[in-house]
Amino acid sequence: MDPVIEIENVSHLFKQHRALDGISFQVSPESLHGFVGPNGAGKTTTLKLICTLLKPQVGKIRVFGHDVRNNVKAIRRRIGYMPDHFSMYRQMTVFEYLDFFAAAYGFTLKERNRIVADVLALTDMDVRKDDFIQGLSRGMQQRVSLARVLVNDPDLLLLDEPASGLDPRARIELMEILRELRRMGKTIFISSHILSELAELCDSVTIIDRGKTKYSGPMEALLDQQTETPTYRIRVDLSAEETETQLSALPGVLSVEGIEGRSDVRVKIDPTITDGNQLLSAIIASGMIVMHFGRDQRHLNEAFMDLTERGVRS
Amino acid sequence: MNRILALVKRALQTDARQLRGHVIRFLLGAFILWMLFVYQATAGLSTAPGLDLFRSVMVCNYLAITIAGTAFFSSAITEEKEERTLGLLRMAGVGSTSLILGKWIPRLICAALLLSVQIPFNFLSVTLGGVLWQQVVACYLTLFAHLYLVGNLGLLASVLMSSTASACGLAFGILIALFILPMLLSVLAMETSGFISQAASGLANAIQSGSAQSQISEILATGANPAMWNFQIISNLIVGTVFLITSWLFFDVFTRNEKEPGSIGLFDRLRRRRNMTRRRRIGSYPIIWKDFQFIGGGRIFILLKFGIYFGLAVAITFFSLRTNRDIAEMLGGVLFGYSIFFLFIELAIVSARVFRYELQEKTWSTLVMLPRSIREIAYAKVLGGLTTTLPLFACMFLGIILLGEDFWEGLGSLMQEFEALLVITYLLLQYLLGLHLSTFCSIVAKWGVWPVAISMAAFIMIASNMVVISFFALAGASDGWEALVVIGCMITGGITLALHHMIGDRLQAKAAES
Repeated sequence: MDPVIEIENVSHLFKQHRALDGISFQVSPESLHGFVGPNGAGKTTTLKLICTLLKPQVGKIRVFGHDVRNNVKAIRRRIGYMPDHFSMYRQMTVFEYLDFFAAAYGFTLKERNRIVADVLALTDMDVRKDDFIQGLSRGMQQRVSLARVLVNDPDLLLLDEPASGLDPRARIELMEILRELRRMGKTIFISSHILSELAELCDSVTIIDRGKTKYSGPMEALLDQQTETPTYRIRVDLSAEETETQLSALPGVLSVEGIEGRSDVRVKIDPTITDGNQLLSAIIASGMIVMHFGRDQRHLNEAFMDLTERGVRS
Repeated sequence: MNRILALVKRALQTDARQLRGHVIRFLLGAFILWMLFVYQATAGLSTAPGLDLFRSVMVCNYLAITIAGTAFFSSAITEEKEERTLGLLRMAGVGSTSLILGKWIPRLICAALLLSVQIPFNFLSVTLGGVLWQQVVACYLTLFAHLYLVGNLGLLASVLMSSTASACGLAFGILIALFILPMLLSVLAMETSGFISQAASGLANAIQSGSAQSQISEILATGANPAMWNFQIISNLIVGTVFLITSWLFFDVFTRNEKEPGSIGLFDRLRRRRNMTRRRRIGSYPIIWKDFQFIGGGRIFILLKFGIYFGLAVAITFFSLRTNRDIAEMLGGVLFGYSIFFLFIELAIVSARVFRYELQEKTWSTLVMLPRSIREIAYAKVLGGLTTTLPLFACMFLGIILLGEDFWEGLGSLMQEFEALLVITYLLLQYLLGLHLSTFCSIVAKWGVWPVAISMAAFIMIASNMVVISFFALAGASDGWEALVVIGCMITGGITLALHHMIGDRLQAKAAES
């Protein structure tokens, strides 16, 4: 399948400041793609370029195969962009606001009734439809904002920091809605700083820093990267000390490290001697009862810290 | 004391370091100097060139203080309310006195400097004849007192209201009431007798004497020997101080709870109530509908406005009725004339408001994301904004009907006057340029709330026209003026078109900025 977003060697300058410096990546259809980078890395600029608010100065951006320079209307019909700030007509009621955008997209009255009801149900806002937007909490306003983005049934959602400023409950609920949208076949491109949630949610990720692409690809591959020595996280029915002694004696085990505050241990193996299956069999054969056995992956935070540079961009 | 004046000191340091303020003051001084030179060169055309020049400068100053000054001071506290930074300032140990002084004094100094920079140049108008140095001093004292009054009125409105727009509305409302009240009281004094008549007459005189506008007219009357300290100055200073103290007293009460930006007005609430019972739906032109609701105020406000305009016209007709004139014809004339007058004012307000709200609330980027060109969206917004003038068009139409044949006869004779048509065309084109300028100012200027945007546009228009006219006057081009007006029309049209495109470009850029 053709990628939904293709970015090739895109650079963008604001006066003397180089916001983007030859970034390239692709986003596959029906995927949930995370977009990560430190403050000032160029995330919002990239999003504005994809959603046609800015025109690329150098390089090419194609969305659904359309060049963002020439096919603005065709692209806008198929995308929904949620900016990183609340930009809503606060004097409108929730219903009026969604109905207004549905009408602006050219839907008939009958279609609008169905669409507004659907997006209100999806975002769980139907009970608040007659409330003024100004009176809603931040989390509710974010839901209305998401509902607005969904009004034209877009194939691609571009979300800039959708969870910023939300309390944990509102954040979890928002993530649930995003999962539901992915199940509905939408492609979601999400920029966020909440890495733990992105790691759990996204199929693929792009990390940028100082206007350059540092990584772009599947989330799994990023988390497995740089672990040339396979590492497993194991918990057995023994004390930490006994576990370390017994596991160190198994063939192919290079090291066993305890994890502070946990009864798990991290075991590194030599892949030329053994593999995960053999290790598990050896543990069971030695009479230990396995409580947990899994491949130890890096956290997205660690990958992010490794790939991005320290300090503030000049 | 240092702590109380910390904000004042910081604001003044920032202003002093910015080039923009110095450039504006320099341009103002240069402009007056240029006009002095022109009036001196064309002194033969007037019996009192110094007085003519000084009077026009004073009128401009009075209007600038009243319109732009009110808006400038009305944002003093509301800008912090809108940004929701008052709480942070309080947590940093900035007290209410420090906040009020920190926001009010720099503005007052900035405005006073703009007035002060003109004084040395305007003293030179004495050398042109027709005006005495005592009149110059008295006029400036009058203006400073008026500035103090307006500054404190704006500050009070800014403390009481939650947004700059509503603070401007309150301050303007009070100033307009002070303007209209003497007229109404005079009518009341004439229609009644005894104590009520005396009280009404006394109050009307007091308000009139306290007005800077009437004081300037009095000072500049031929042969006047004005007193430096008069009732207007003293009353303006006292009332201004009362406003300042009231602002300080009510500051904590009105700034305790910070609200979300944007306000829900009475009409919004009425609309909601109706929506809940019978939801009214958006038609085929949603952007026009939205601005009809938010700029025009919706159906309720449009009807209310029509009632007010029509009622005003009826009241004016009734009070100025002459026995030998046909009442319908007179009402028609009033309706038609007043509709045109208010139409010019309302169009200027719409031009400065139409994009401002979207930019301020950062909703422009969301609107622009619709699959339409920026031109389609912008023109739809303009049409939506123009719906606010529907009551005036209705009044004008009614006026034409009541005027009957008189209107068509007048129009017919106007059409035969080539020179008059030429001048009207030039003025309309200038007005169109002014509308574009105020839209442009409202988009690019940080302080582009509508009164400021309109004032900026009006000042640019008046100054540039005066410069152009002065060039012609210096060149002695009095013959063949029609050709000059035609050239003026073409230049105005060209600049308007260029500005039209620039507005489009700025709107595109603003969508990406927000």
